[in-house]
Amino acid sequence: MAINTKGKPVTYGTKTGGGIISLVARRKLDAGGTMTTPFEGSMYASEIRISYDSDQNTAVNGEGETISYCVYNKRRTLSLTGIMVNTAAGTPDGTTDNITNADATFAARIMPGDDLYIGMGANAEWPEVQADDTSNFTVGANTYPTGEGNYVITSVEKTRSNGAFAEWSITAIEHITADVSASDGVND
Amino acid sequence: MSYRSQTEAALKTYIEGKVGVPVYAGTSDQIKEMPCVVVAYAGGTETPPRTGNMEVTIEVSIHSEVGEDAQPGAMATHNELVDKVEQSLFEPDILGVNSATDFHLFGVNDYSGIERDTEGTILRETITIAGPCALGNF
Repeated sequence: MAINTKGKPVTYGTKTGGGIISLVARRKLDAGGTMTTPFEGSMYASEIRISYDSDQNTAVNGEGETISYCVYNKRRTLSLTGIMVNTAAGTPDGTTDNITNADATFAARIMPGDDLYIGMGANAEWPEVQADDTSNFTVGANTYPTGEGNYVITSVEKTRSNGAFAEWSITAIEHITADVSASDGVND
Repeated sequence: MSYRSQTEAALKTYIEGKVGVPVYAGTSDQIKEMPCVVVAYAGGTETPPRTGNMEVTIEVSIHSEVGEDAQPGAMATHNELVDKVEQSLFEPDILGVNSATDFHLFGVNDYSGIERDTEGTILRETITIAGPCALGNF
């Protein structure tokens, strides 16, 4: 009997069928807690990368054997690279498609320390990236189910190079809480 | 309208403003009068993927008849035409093409030529440019 060669479902690209993700950066202006939105818009993401990292420590006995291994400060780091897109009703507002608005979008002042909320489509296809608080997404008619992402921007790099589209590179970090109670299985 | 037709139409209008000879869009157009300029869309690649923006390649060629039966001074006229077309395709001049509606050229990433070839008494010089563009009045 012949074996049929078939394809397999695989994860492909930055977003299935699209490539555009939504980004919102929010910042607390003062001690009173006023939140502002320095950026709300979209990115053609050429790369979205998540890495998990931790610190470790070991204990050794008198004979030099490792008898305990401790992992702590677990965290995940998100790296985004892509072209920013002026978006209708975004911040800056890109309702009119023109170069001026595109330039204003690229020049939006997001900063380290800003909260970063990411929308990966209507199906939240990558929960590790998808924001856990989607109430901040108000651009257009987009709706986003809740994910797990709770990132703070640690670095931002904007690049304009000759003969290429301008890009943002964002690094954001989230310190991950761990299960400390065996009974409930909930991240505490 | 397709990328081909809009790109050729925009370049045709732009170059018509630079030279005093007929400008034809597309390789399939019949060349009726020489000297002339032909603008041909030679292909494109969507860049970045799924954006709708294209990295297009455009061939602009100058055609003249320079044989014994040609007009006196045909070669001088041809060279002057090449000068004008060549200059008009360099940045920043070429960005004047963006006055056209529904076409925007972001820049020229590759400029090659001038390649010269002959067919009988017809002299043809071709400049090829490539750059990212989008269909929109930006």
